[in-house]
Amino acid sequence: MFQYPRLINFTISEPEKTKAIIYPFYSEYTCPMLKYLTFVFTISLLHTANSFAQQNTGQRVSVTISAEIISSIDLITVRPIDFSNTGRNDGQITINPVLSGRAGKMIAQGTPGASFRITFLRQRDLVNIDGDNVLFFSYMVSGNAEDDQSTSELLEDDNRALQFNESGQFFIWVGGDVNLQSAPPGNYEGEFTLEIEYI
Amino acid sequence: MPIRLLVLLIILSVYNPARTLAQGGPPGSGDLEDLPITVLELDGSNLDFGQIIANSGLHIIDINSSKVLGITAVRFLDVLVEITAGDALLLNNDPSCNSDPTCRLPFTLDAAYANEGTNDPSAATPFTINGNTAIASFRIRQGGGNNIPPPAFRNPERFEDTAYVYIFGSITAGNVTGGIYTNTINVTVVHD
Repeated sequence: MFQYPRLINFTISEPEKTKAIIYPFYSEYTCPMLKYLTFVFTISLLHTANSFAQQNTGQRVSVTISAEIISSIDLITVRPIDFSNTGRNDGQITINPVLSGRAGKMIAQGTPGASFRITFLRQRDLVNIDGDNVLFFSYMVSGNAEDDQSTSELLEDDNRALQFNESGQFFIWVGGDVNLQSAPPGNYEGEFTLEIEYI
Repeated sequence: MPIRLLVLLIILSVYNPARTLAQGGPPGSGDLEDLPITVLELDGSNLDFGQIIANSGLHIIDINSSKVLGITAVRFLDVLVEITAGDALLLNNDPSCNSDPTCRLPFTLDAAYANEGTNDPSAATPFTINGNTAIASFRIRQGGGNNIPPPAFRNPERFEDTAYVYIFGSITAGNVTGGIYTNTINVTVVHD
């Protein structure tokens, strides 16, 4: 017949009693059944701890967030085209954007190294501000990533995909030609629109 | 009395019906926690905001354009998903930009999950967001009448289903230097 261990009938001193509670295997007074059960319980706790560890060993995935920031493009006019006292050749005035010091100059500023495209209308009207007379101006534009007009390239239809330099700058010179042979004297004005966009 | 208490504790620690159903065997023969969880990136791309002009303000990737993850596991398994992200995208991922407003883009994380069997953002449930940490605990398959674990099964893959996690958010483009800005979102999925 099974009998419960006579656990409560022991008389032990207070310090030993404390040890028996804290360290069940320590005390010589601890009954064998209690030792066994404590051992099983400890093992089961370890098993639970192991399960907890597995539970927290999950799947991990990393996702990259990204964005490419491009600076807004600023276009600064350094100087306008200078027509004053230009020499005429049979009424024709020509300002070469690569060679002439009268060429207008602009600086485009954007993201360093970024590619961009320049578009402009080659033919524009200049209107006499005192009348209805119109001059047809043909623009010529050259550009260079360096601030050097003499090595700039004329921007034709096939070379308008350009690139900002390391400082985010691109230099533009504007010239053109106009025929004044039949133009009445007066003041003429018009606009030149040049568009720049990232590509 | 202590012995009875110990016996009770042992029984409780060994007998856990939720953990022992996986293999259908006797208690302790298999754990739900041992069943595999697979996390797949479904769209294969990162969370890319694309080209943005500096100083252009708030840019949002909404849930319909989000990064989608698929979590595949036994359908009645509860999972805990934690998503953490830095609070900013940094120019060239340079840590020194964390304290430099000219080379960081503040990022706000958002996330949601859909666990009704279909990849449907419109049916998604938002994560709880705290800062740039998103946490949600959910069952792989909610509804569908199969929420109760079968008493025994030996082919867990027959009972697999997929839940979907949507990661999205927004950045604010201030007056910052041009270039490539990046950071990383970490997603951890564990049994719950």
